[in-house]
Amino acid sequence: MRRYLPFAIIGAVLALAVASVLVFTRSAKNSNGSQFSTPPPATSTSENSSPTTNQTASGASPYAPLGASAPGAQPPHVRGAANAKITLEEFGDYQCPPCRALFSELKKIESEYHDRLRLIFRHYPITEKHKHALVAAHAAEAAGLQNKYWEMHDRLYETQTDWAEADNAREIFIKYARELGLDVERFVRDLDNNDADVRIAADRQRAQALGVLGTPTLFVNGRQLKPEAMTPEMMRKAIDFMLDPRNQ
Amino acid sequence: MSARKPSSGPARESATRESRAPSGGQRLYIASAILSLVGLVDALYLTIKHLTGQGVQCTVTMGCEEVLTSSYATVGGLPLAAFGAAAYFTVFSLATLALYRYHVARTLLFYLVAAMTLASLFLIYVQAFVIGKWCQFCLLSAAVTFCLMAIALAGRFFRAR
Repeated sequence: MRRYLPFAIIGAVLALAVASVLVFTRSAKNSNGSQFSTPPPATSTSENSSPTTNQTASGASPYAPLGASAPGAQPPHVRGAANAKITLEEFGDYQCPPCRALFSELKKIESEYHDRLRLIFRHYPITEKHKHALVAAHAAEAAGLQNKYWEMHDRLYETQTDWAEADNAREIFIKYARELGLDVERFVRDLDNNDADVRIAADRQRAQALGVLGTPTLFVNGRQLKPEAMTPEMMRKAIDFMLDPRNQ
Repeated sequence: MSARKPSSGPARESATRESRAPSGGQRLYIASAILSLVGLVDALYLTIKHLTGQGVQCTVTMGCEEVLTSSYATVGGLPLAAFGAAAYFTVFSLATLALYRYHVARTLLFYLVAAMTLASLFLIYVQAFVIGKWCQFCLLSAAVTFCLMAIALAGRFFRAR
């Protein structure tokens, strides 16, 4: 009997390990929407009770009441159809590498979901870690004053590695402005515009109100995606979950 | 896994040096088995979190998100933690067999733990110099592996005596 004991022990541990994986993954799959760290809007009324109509133009997928006290910069930077059923709200930092990775994936997602989805970008520069994050946000805002916010937004992420460690990031951004066909003199003036600081502070205030702890953080129709759910497949799963009429 | 017959029968075990001492050596295999279970639970936790897309809360370090969503967190589409779980289960199995005097398991255990130590060193390098963030669960796994390596080396020392 003793000679079989080690195999019995090993078999028991294996069975326990396999069973735990099966049980936990199955229970997670059964609870749809597990990729969200915030509860559905209908149940998240502890903080605020009134919806924030100025954060979203989408009647089909209103924002969660969460964060109503801090609507963020107005008007927000929005890309996509006004009546899209899905509103992604990203809190990002132009110098953060995971934000750049998310940017690439979101571009694909935006083209896949087309007019069913729109994107709001909110500034959350981590200035303690990223020395150019703030000036990059200013550059995007300055471009926005000439109606080229998203062009600069895309350029900043696409070229992040070119300027993230550069000493002359500001000059690089001015070069981008020139390439994007902006009025460079005005862009340079607007780079130091205090209005940008006000908008960034408003976005930061909203981030804090929503409990954002880092970048990138993504909300899908007002529900925050868990950090671990920000993989390409889980993001699509979250969007599909929200598109499902049963979950609206 | 290669299940081999014990190299010495229970009747003859009493004549061996190992069985005379309820030995340090045997205690080390018990310690290895227990430690590998700690590593197995840690790796299974990360595997389940990865498979279910659930967030991993870091309470000690501040980089679980970055580390566990980096390109180093998956190999061939599978979570790296799953490979870790398989490795720890194999360590547990070999340590258990070694405890029951399957000598081939002792040799395999040593080389497996050595390989895991190298892998852990590489992953620590990645966290420190590539990602620049630390994941506490990955550090726990590395600590378990280093302890296993220390135990494996101690086991060699006991056998050499």
